[in-house]
This record gives sequence, structure tokens and C-alpha cells, in this order.
Amino acid sequence: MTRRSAIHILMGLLVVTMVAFALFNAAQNFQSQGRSFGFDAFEQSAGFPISETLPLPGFEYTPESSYWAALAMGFLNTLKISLVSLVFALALGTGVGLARLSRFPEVRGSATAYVSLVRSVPLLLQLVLIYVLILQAFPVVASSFKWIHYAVDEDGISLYAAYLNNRGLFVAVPKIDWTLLWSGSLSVSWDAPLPTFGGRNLRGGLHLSPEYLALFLGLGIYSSSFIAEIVRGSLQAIDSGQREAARALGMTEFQTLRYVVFPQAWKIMVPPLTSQFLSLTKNSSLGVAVGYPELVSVGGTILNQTGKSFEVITIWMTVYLSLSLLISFLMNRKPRPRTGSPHAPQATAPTRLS
Amino acid sequence: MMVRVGFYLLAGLLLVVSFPIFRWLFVDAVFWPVTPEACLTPEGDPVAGACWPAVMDTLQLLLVGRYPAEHLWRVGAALGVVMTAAVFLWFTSRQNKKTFGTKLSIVSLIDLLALGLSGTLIVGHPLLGLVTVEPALWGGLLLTVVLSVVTLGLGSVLGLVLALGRMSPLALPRWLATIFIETVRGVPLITVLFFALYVFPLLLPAGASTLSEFSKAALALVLFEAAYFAEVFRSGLSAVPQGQHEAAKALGLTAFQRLRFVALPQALKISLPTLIATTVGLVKDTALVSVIGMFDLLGAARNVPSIPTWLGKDLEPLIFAALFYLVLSLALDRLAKRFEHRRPSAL
Repeated sequence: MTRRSAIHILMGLLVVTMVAFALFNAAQNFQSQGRSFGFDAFEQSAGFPISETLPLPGFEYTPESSYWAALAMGFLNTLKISLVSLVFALALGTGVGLARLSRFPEVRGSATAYVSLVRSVPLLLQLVLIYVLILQAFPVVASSFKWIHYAVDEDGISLYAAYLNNRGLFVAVPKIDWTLLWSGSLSVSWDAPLPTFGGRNLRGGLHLSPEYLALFLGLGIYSSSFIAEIVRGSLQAIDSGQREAARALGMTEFQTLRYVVFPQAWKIMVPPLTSQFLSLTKNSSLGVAVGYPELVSVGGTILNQTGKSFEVITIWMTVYLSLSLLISFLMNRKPRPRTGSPHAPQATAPTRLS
Repeated sequence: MMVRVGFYLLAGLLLVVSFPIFRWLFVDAVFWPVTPEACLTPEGDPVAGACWPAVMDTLQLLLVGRYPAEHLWRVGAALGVVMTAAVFLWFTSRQNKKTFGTKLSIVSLIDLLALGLSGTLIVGHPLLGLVTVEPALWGGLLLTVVLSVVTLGLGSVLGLVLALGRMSPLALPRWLATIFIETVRGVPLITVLFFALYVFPLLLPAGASTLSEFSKAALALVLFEAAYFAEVFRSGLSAVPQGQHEAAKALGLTAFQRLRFVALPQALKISLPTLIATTVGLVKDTALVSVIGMFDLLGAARNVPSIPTWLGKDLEPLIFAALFYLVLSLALDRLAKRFEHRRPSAL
């Protein structure tokens, strides 16, 4: 026992010394460089616009808003892109994962090639590639890809419901006036993209910028390859007897999957899928490379403007850590089944998937 | 049947989309001569196809960055040393795959020697008659490989230490290791890079010599990857059957001997596929240093369109870089497959 306490004391002293040394140096450096540690400066107005902000009821971001508001917008953008990309990645990943187990060799081969390719190239490179492709390979607004012709305006220009060009994707969306619901009538008007400047630009409708599209597609495709492997592994882990019994009962392949194999595989899938969701949320920080104003991007701008690196980095780490802990905690709270099924592994499982 | 139909429809769609891509990449593309005018039509407009001279002309940048041309032979020599060591090890391991664990010490020694020699060749030292080439001049594929190797070496060792700390019966090492691992795994690599760049220098004495950007990036990568390696080692170590530890204890082996001769060899064999997967992830993660302004393979590729001669040629260098990462990753995956166990599956 004495050896243990000796190690403890020694290690404790070492750690305390190192921390004190670091703090001392920090204080010295702060003083000599004329810096101060504090979040008061964050109350000042940001002075920069944010190209994409989530419309919140009762709040509109302007360059006069405080740095805190800017950070909040960045955080909301992070959440938005993470959730949306996750849905896309889950859908695509499940499809590819099932394709990997198909009895048709061409389907299997293509899915395997897809997974190998996507997993081998860094996410950052994929993001930049997609972004450059959208900016350079997509047509200018005047010659966009157009769908669903619905009217002709007074200048004789045809109007469409959806446009795809190098400024992004523009889609007409319905605007429902909820206040008229009480009077029994439902007023649906359309917020549609309309050509401006003689057809060289568009305004209105739901606008998905190239930055958003690049991040959405890049994150979605990259994560889908890992999700495909997770889905495949979980489905393969179910004993083949289950499938054989289901088929013997007369179920089709699809019914076997839907009612027998998949529900059992789901339990195995959830922890690694949670890890993948965490990974995706952290990877959204690469939005800074394509110009999407998520948390790291906005924080980076603030860092450059105010020079308060300590504070900004602290905020980043706190936010991401809290997100990670929250998500893992929520996923690990699954109730234990009353029958003696095996306990599902923790969501922060040792295997690294990204 | 439906699956087949759906698949061929999708394949058809992809084929239609890939025709113009193929045409741009190869048919309409310009391959030579390697002059700035090669990619312009007689009227002075840019050519409709890919401009591969942009890659050929900047090949040195993409492969070695701004490494002085007169010293490039050293990079070639370093590569030669590493390849010789790799081939030698491959031959010796073919004979006895079963004694993988015990041969580890000789393998590591040769590895270290080869790495040390090639590293010295690349960096250089006046005492050996080689001019020092600062890390700031390294770039392109060279920088990616050096960063990967350094991160792998230091990160795996630190990861092992952290894993042992996390599994320690003593409270303090366990707490420190756990806090470090969970914190680092919970944040994106970019924030760790920014931390190393902006916060870490503030924690050092004011009079200390300033660290190079390379060192800061390497520090961030090592710390980040160590946390992930720690988890892999931890799961590998806990997968070793308890009976092994008990038998070793009964034989009178000390804790260190138990670790070195019983637990670690088995743990490494179990976790080898995951370790290689983590290594592949590590190589891909080095690409992030391009965000903090370093010119690794991806950074150099993104920089090419800024060169006045090749303005606007974004895609060609990016495709080139992507191919390199593909080759690297697939090679490592191949290596992993040699050690993977096959399991009977349900579907």
C-alpha cells in the first residue's frame, strides 16, 4: 500500500506542478501581450453578416447583434446540418449496407466499391471537391437546370418550381398562414424563386447555398459508407437460423428482413450508429473549409477579429463536449430488457469508426 | 427481381451522368505540352477539358512542397531506406507468421533504425555534412507521410500509456487518463489544432523558443490520435482472457513482465485490424492541417489554382490528391485484410 500512496503523491505533485507552471506562463504571457481573459468583449456587436441563419421566432441576426448571437447562430447551423445530413446518411447507408448483402454479384460489387472508395479519401477533400464541382461544373443561373414549369411572368420568362445552378438549389415552398385557420379557411401561398436581373439571379423560395449543399452531401456520403458497414455487420451478426426459419414459414426475403432480422439487428446497431452520429456532428466543423457558417467557422471569424483565442476555443470545446456527452448519455439510457438478452455495448465503444 | 431492376435503373442514370465527366477527364482533356498556353485555345479561352499540365507542372510542389531541389536526393534516399526495410521485414515474416509476437522486438528495432535513418536524411544535420532543411519547407505528399509516421509512432505509444493509465487500479492515473481521453474524443480535430496553434504557445514560458508550425500541428495530431489509440488498446487488453493474467501471476511474473510477455502480444494480435483502421483514419486526418495553412498534399492541391499560370484549375490537383489518398488507404486496407479472421455469417 505504501508504494501505491507514493506513486499517487508523486504523480499528484507532478500534475500540480505542470498545471501551475502552465497557468503561471499563461498569466505572464497575457500580461506581456496586453491581453485579458474575459467574455465581456463578446457583448460587442459582431460587425459581420452570417449568410445562413435559422429564422427564430422573435429574433433576427444582424451585424449589430452581439458575438454571443453570432455564436448561437453558428451553433444552430451546426445542429441543423448535422441532423439533416444524418437523415440522408442513414437512408443512403442502410441502402448500401443492404446492397452489400445482396445475392446479385453486381449489386454487391458496386456497393463494396462505393464503400471502399468513399472511406479511403479524406472527408475534407471530398467536401472541397463537391464544393468546387458545384461552383464550376454547375451551370450559371441563366441556364440552370429547371423543373416543373408552372407559369409565365409578364416579361415572358417561364417560371419554374425548382432551379439547380452554381448558386445552389432553389425550391418553391408553400407558406401556410396559420392565423386564418381559426376562420376555417386555409390560405396557402407559395414562396417561389423568381428570376431577377434579367434572369441572371434568383430570389425567393427555399435556397440551399453551394456551401450548404457541399457540406450536406459530403457529410452524408462519407457517413453513409460507415453506416453501410455498421448495418451490414449487424445484419450478418444475426444467426442464419432466424432467416431460414422465416423463409420456411413462407415469408419473402423482404418480409424476413423487415419482421425478423432487422428488429433484432437494430439493437446491435444503435451503439455504433450513435458513435457515427457523434462523428458526423464533429465532422460538421469542417464547414469552415467550404464557408458554411457553422460554429467553428463563426468562432474562427470572431477569433480573427477579437484575438480572443483562449475564450473562443474554450467555447468550442465546451459546446462539442456537451453535445457528445449528451448524445452518448441519451443513447446509453436504453432500458434493460426483462428477458435475458445480452447487454448492448456502450455507445462510446472502443472501436473507432471515422 | 425488383432489386435488379432498381439497380440497373440507377446504374443507367449514373452512366448517363458519367459520360460528360469521362469526356472532361480524358477525351477533351489536354495532357501535353507542359506550358501555360497548352490549356488555352488559339483565341485565348480556356480549353473545355481537364488541364493535366497544371498537375505536371506543379508536381514538385504536390509531392515535396518547397523542399530545396538540390537536396531532393535525400528524400529519395530516405524512401529507399524505408522500402528496403519493408521488403526485408516482409520476407522474414513470410517464413514464420506464427511467431509474430516474439519476433516483435527485432521487427521494432529494424523499424526504428529505418525510420531514424530516413528521418535524419530528410531533416539533415550540419554535423553529418547535410544542410538542415526546416520543416517549414516540407510540403505535399512528403509532409503528409512525415506527419502520418510521426503521429503514428508517438500517438500509438502515448495511446498505450493512456490505455494502461485508464485501466490502472490506482485512482489518480485512471482519472487523469479518462478525463483526457473522453475530452479529446469529444471534440473535433480542428479545435485541437486551433488549441495547439493558439493556446499552447501561451502555456509555455515567454522566453522559450517559438515552436514551428509543424511541431504544433504534430502535437495536436499526436494528442488527438493517442486518445483513439488508447481506446483500441484498452479493448484489446481487456479481450485477453483473465486466465492468462492469473497464470502469469501464479508463475511469479511482475506486472511489467505480465504486460510485456503475456498481455500485450495477445492484445496486439486481437486488435490489429482495428489498429490499422485507426491508422488509415490517421492518414486522412493529416489532411486537416491544410485548414490551418500548412501545405500538405491537400493543402498543396488547393494552392495550385492560386498560382497565376494555373488560375482556376481547381479540380485537376484535387483529383490527383484524391488518387494518392486512395492508393495509400487501399494499400493499408490490403494489409489489414491479411490479418482479419473470417467469421461464418447469417446472410
